[in-house]
Amino acid sequence: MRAGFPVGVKEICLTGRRLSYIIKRVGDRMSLENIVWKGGLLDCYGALLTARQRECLDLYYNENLTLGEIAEHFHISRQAVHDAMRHGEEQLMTYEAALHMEEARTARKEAAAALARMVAPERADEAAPLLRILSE
Amino acid sequence: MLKIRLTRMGAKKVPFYRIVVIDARAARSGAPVDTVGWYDPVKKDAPVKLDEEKILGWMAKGAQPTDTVRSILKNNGIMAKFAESKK
Repeated sequence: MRAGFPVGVKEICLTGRRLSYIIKRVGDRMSLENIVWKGGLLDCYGALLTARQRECLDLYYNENLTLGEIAEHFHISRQAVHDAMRHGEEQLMTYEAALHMEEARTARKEAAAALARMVAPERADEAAPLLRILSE
Repeated sequence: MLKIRLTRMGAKKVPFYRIVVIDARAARSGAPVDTVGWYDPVKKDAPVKLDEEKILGWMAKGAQPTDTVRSILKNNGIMAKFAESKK
């Protein structure tokens, strides 16, 4: 499993024109790991999506709304929400597969945590701002 | 209908989730009726804190957990306790 992927996700793979990701266990779409991972991708690349895609994904992953509730919120069909989310997620995967920003951020965060453990307690205050920059 | 759902707080790239009881019709503008726990994926071991008493109380009043919250409650044995309390 690569860094930055939620538990169970092995890799992002290219299948035809569509990017998909492999989940070992069925029904993991709304697992905590997946929610946090997708939320992170949305933080990184959300600005590159259309407003509708971003809002649907935001409500689904950050507000934990169902497709039906999102459809009601925007006065659109459940199918339209599903399509917007599918396209949005594909876009997020494409960006991550090409740029690896979320993966790099996770690796930096882990490096910062490892460094924090190495810093002597008397120098912790001095190191804190630097570690915060590294983990951002 | 009341729902028990996760809602994201925290800054960009620093997620923090609260588990709240909220009206199903209130999407993002609505204020939660109650906060019953939290989940902090940034911290080591990603701790989940649940107020069991409050959750059981709200579920007894008919609040429905979302699939995600349901799995959290199941992992922490709260769904089993709720099923037990209904017998």
